[in-house]
Amino acid sequence: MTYMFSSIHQLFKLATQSKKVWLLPIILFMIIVALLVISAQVSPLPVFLYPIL
Amino acid sequence: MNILGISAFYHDSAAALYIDGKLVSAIEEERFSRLKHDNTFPFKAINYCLDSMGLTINDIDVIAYYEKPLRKFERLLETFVITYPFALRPFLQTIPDWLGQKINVEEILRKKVGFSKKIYYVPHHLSHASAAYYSSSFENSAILTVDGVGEYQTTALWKGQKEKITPLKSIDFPHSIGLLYSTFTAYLGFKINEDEYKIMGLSAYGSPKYVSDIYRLIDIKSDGSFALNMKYFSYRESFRMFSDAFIALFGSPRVPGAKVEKRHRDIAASIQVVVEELLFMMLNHLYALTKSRNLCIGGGVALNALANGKIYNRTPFRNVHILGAAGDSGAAIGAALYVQRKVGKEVSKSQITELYLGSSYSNESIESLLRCYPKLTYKKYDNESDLLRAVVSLLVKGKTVGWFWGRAEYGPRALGARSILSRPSPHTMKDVMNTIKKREEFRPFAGSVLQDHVHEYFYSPEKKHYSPFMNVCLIVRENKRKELAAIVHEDNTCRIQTVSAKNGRYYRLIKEFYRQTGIPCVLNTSFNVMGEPIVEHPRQAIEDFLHSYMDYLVLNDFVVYKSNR
Amino acid sequence: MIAFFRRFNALCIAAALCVVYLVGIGLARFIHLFSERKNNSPVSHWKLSHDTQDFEKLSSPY
Repeated sequence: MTYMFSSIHQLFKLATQSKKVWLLPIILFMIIVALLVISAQVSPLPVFLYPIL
Repeated sequence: MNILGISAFYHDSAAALYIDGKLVSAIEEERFSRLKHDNTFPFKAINYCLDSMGLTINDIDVIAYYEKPLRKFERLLETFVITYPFALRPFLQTIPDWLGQKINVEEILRKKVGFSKKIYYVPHHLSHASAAYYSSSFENSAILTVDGVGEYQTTALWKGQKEKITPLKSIDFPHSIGLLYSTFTAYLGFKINEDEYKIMGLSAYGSPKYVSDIYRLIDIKSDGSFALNMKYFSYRESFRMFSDAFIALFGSPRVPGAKVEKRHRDIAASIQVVVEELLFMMLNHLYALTKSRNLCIGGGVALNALANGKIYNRTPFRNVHILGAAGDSGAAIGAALYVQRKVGKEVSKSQITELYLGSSYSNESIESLLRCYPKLTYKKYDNESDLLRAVVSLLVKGKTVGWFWGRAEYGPRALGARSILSRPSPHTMKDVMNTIKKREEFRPFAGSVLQDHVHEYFYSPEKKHYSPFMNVCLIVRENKRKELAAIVHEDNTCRIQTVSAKNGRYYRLIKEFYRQTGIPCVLNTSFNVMGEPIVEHPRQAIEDFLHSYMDYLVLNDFVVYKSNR
Repeated sequence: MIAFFRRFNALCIAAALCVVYLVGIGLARFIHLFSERKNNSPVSHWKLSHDTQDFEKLSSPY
């Protein structure tokens, strides 16, 4: 679970330190995927159930 | 101050430990995991470095990581952006790995390694430059770093002056000599980041007929700068290195494992020529910028020993230093050295003259292991002179000897601590060795030669040429080629390691060989069979010995025989 | 059952990544087009380096 937050933290760092505008839409989407990837490693439950839960 | 340098995640993960300015321990992860060029995070290597000095992670003051992971990730994303929409498959494979661990270096170091103090991230090419320059004896030097790619840079020129490294010029991804050479490695059916040196060896058997075709792939300027024509390369958007245009130009690629044909040999010869020319143009430009006769080279391309041996003839540089671990494992050392100068107290020159930094094993542990192998007989020598006389007499008789002694070497080359040795002639010794190692027949073998005799046997730039890390190929003198027939390659060169008293027992072994035969040189190849990393533990050495045609094994003070002898 | 869900998760993530690529990277490509600078120097492909080895920046992974 800590990796999830760590990845998101690193992505924020990248967005703020890089100052490259084209990165922003990618970072936004990446954060969503980071949540999916890391949480799928943690739990076997289908990811689409997370919003419901 | 205790500094731990780390490289990870691309290839050759490693850890290196500095205590109060002295390099005390360093090892690659592959030696423990037994996966060649292991790129996983080097937990075992870190543990080894700490254990070897009786330290825990809490005793480490600073960790120096060999690159900037976020900047590398940025370059990766930019590559996906530029190649949109053709790189979906690499994107799907790469991104989970990056999000899962590669951008989480700090998290791994804090949570899994348990480190709580300061972490520094040294830019990749600066790590290479630092490893090359700070490990040399030069106060002032020109520095060249060349590899596949770091964060963005693939090639960089630097100036080292009074302990300060100043960047001069650079070339960024995707224009890369390392990736150019790797593309041809893949095209010729070999593994990239692993088999590039096989192309170097194969080149001696071909004619450079494809040089003009290769020049169509690159735009080279008179100052040695270059840009690849990306029409021919597809490594940005796919898992294949070369494009259909490349195939149209050079023909269909060689299938891995298929017979090596003349066309393949000619292509290998051609790419070697082109890369050499490019490097020399670059070096001549670097000399013009720095006016220094000293040169340090770092990065994976610095392992091209054939090019290195020609620097003295093709450029104004007179003193060349290339650390044995010039690739990413050496960058762990470089990162630590750089951070040391930034955070540590004033340090004296940190010249590295030998790379025996790995594990060693006591006679007691070896003997208790040997007792577990009833198929083996062994004899312990209490006197080193008797041991060396016995081993050399075996070598003189044409026997092959596995040599496992002292601390293991750091880097890709065996330097007389984890080696398989034989006499350097007749020519048939090469075939015997290739059978033991299960290697392709075109692969040459290297030699370890007493430094005092280098000039007598090789066309060396100076009389007592100093090349302790086996990263230079020199031409063998005509009247000595018969004596060294098993290590003279098709082009009359030999990759050499110069050996001196610093090499301890290995030096004394070759001296004894010289005393008995008049030849100051032995054939030295790494102690492993094809596909394996160099042996780490005596058990691995014994297993390789038992399952190969090796005649004898020397483990520290023990000479081991197969019982059916 | 767990094995099935793990596989299903993997497929969902792959689908999400496809969306990231097609939309996110696509949008980035559009923005990148306006910021792209090409080095069209006829004389040299070298890029001049600047001495940016600030000590403070060493502690950043960027």
